[in-house]
Formats: sequence, structure tokens, C-alpha cells
Amino acid sequence: MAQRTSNNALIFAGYSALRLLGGCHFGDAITHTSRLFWQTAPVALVLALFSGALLAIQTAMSLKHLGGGMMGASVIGFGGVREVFPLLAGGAVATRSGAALASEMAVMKQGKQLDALEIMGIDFHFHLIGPRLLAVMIGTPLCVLVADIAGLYGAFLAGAYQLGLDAGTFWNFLLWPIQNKDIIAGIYKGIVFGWAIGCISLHAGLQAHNGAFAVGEATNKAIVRSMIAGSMISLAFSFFIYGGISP
Amino acid sequence: MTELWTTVARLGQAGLQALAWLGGLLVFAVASLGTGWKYPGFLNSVCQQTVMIYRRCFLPVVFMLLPLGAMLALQGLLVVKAFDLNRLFSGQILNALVREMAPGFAALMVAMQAGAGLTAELGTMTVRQENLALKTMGLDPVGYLGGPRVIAVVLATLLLCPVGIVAGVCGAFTYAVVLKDFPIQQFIFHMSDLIHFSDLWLAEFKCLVFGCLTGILCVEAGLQPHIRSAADVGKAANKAVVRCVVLLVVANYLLNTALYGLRG
Repeated sequence: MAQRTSNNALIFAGYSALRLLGGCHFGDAITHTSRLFWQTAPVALVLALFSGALLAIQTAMSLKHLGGGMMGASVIGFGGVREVFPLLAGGAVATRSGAALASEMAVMKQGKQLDALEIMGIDFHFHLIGPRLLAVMIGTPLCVLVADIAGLYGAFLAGAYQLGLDAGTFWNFLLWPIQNKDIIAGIYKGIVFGWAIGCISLHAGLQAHNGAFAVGEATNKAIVRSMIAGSMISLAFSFFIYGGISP
Repeated sequence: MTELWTTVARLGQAGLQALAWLGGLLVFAVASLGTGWKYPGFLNSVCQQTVMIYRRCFLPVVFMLLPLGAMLALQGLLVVKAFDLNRLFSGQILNALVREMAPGFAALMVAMQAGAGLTAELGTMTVRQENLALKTMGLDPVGYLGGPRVIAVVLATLLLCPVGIVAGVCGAFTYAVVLKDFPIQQFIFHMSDLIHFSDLWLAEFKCLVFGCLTGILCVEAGLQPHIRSAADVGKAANKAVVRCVVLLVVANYLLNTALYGLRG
């Protein structure tokens, strides 16, 4: 009960991660992962597709004096896969599924369903928290991959068909700066984003007070905190992978 | 063949529903902005809501843009070192912040923090039948509650854009100059090389459009009559934010195409 009602999100996050290592209801985890992916992937796809196109237009404009669109294509390949698309996928998961998790938990808490589980002696973390947390941790990297592909195609479509640049050359310039390391780093980022989004959203839902407004407030808190945590995690990852400690 | 026609019919139905929803939004926008100003205390309500939204969103915008500015500097430094373009570093950062990141992320944070909050607040009022009470007293909830809130969201988004720019520059400065020893003179003196005063106005224009979209979508979602329980409020807030985020990105692309793409 103490870990469920803990006011401290960090304690909750740490405890949930430890309990997850001990296992959870995998059948539920698979169901939740599939639901999360099909709910969130279309949002991540649309966000990344339009953002890729947007990046193509902006970089072509900004780097006009350095070679324009082709130089821009490399910048999108470089910055998009490393930073923008994983962050967008995280944002899509936070807004679509994180908010839904928070609202679901808040409604269950208000309906006393959590208390009922406890009275029946059912392990709350094994059946409720673990599967959802695992689902977000598996679903987010999958959404990162969807966003990477959609973002690159969005940039390609805008570069080749809107800005009128040579399609083959644009595609080559888009792909040459991308290394395996960047894609794998994106997947790792996705897993950590997923963990953060899951913990923040579940905690926000479990901390909700009574009343309809509290459900909306929990949803609100889950989204904003997940987004801020996402940008900080992204910076920390990039710093250790690409920035190096020394100048 | 029948399956094909069924699919076509479903697609057509979805398209018509989307059009009906967009039309409904337009009608709602006209009704809320057109009638809201007639009620007494309209300006007072607008000021109160603007201050409240600004205060609620200030820190989220700062905490979002600070790391993003630092991230921009981190990846930017790798590029400028590879191509020996130190002179363009701070200019490109300010360029990206003013044109894209500050208006986009300020609007996103307003949608996530204030937009979801407004939907939840108005949804709760709908659950408690306060809106019906207002109607009984002869006040239209769309104009009386919606009008000031939509305008307040627009004003707060406009005010938060410069905050985002400053936070982003601070993040980039901290990473590049303080942590990575990038020459401070080069950072400061070349910052405005690639930016024009008109870019600031364009950023504010974008914020105006984004604020309108956020305000209308979130207020409309909160005033839906089918909201009857706590679960409905959560669903409405969730749906409003997802729609806002998707529409903001699509609107941003269309605005950029109109403002820069045709020139490119």
C-alpha cells in the first residue's frame, strides 16, 4: 500500500522497476503492448511525417547559402534520427497512451477498484502496474522506429516533390549521415522514455483525488511531466553518446 | 467487389465526419468569439484566464526549451566542427529557435498544460450540470465560458513564445559556452546574423494561429454535452490534447509551406 500511495514519483518509479524485474502478467503485457502500439503508431506517424517535411523546408531555407536542400537533407538525417523523431515518438506515446493510462488509473482509484484488488489479496504490481509499464517500455521503441521511417519519408517527399530537388541525390544525402549507432541509440532512448512515461502516468493516476476534475488533472499532469522528462532524458542520452564529457 | 465498395463507403463516411467536425469547430469558434464579448466582465475574465494560463505554462515552457536548446547546441557543435563553420553556430541556433522550436513547443506546452486543464475544468462543469444552470439563467456557456478562455489561450501563447526563445538560448549558451568552451564573443556577436526582425513577427503570427487552434479545440472538447462522468472527462482531455498536437504539427507544416516553402 505504501509504495502505491507514495507521494514521491521517484520512489514509485524505482519500486515499480524493481518489481518488474521480478516478473509480471505477460499475457496482459502483450495485450497492452498491442493496444498501445495500434493506438499510438498512427499519431507518431502523422507527427513524424509532417515534422520531417517541415524540417526539409526549414533546413533548405536556413542553409541556402551553404548548398541549400542537399545540405539540409544531411542535417535532417543527422539530427532527425538522433533527436527529433525519437522525441516526437515519445511525445506521441505520452499524449495518446500516457494520458489514457493516467485517466484509467484515476478512474479505477475513484471506483475503489484498487482497494478491492488489495482486499482480495491480488498483487497490485504484478497484475496492474507491471504489464502496463512493460507495454509502454516495449511500445515506445516500436513507435520510435515508426517515427524514424515516417520522418525520413516526410523529408524525402517534401524535398523531392515540394522543393523540386533531385529525388535520388536527396535520398542519398538523407541517409549517408545515419549510422547503426544512431538507430540503436534511438531504441534505447525509446525504452527509457517508455519507462519514464509509464511511471509518471501511472503515478499521476494513482495520486488523483476524488471527483471528475481530478481525472482531468491527472491526465494533464501525466502529459506535461512526461514531455519534460522526455526532453531531459533525450539531452542526457545525447550528452553521453555524442557529446562526450571532455570539451 | 462488394468489399471494395464497402471500404470506399467507409472512407467516404470518415471523410464526411471529419468535414462535419471541422465545420462544427468553425461554428463553435464564431459562436464563442462572436458572443463572448457581449457579456459583462468579459475583459476581466480574459485577463484573469490569461494570467492563470501564463503562470501555469511558464515553467513547463522553460523546462522544455532549456534542454532542447542544449540539445540543439550539442548536435550543432558536431556539425560546425565537421564543416568548420563556427561563425554560423549561434546564428543557426537562434534561427531554429525563433522560426520553429519556440513557437512550436510553446504552443505544445500550452496545449498540454493549459488546454487539457481547460477541457477538464469545463468537462467537470458539464458533469455537474453547471452549464445547464447557466443556460437556465439566460447565459450561453459557449460565449460566456468559451469566449474568454479561447482569447486567453491565444494571448498566453503569444506571451510564452519569447520566453521559449530566451530559455532555448540559455540552454544552448550553457552547453556550448559554459560546458564546451565555445568562444563567448563568437556566440554573442554572430547570434543575430541569420535572423531578421520579420522572423519574430512570423513566429508570433504562428503562435496566434496555434493559440486559436488550441483554445477552440480544448474548449469545444470540454463543453461536449455527452460528458457525464469522471471517466468521460479524462477521455475528453486525452482526445483534446491528441487532436491539438496532431493539428498543431499539420498547421505548422502548412504555415511553413506558405511562409518559406514557396520561396525556397
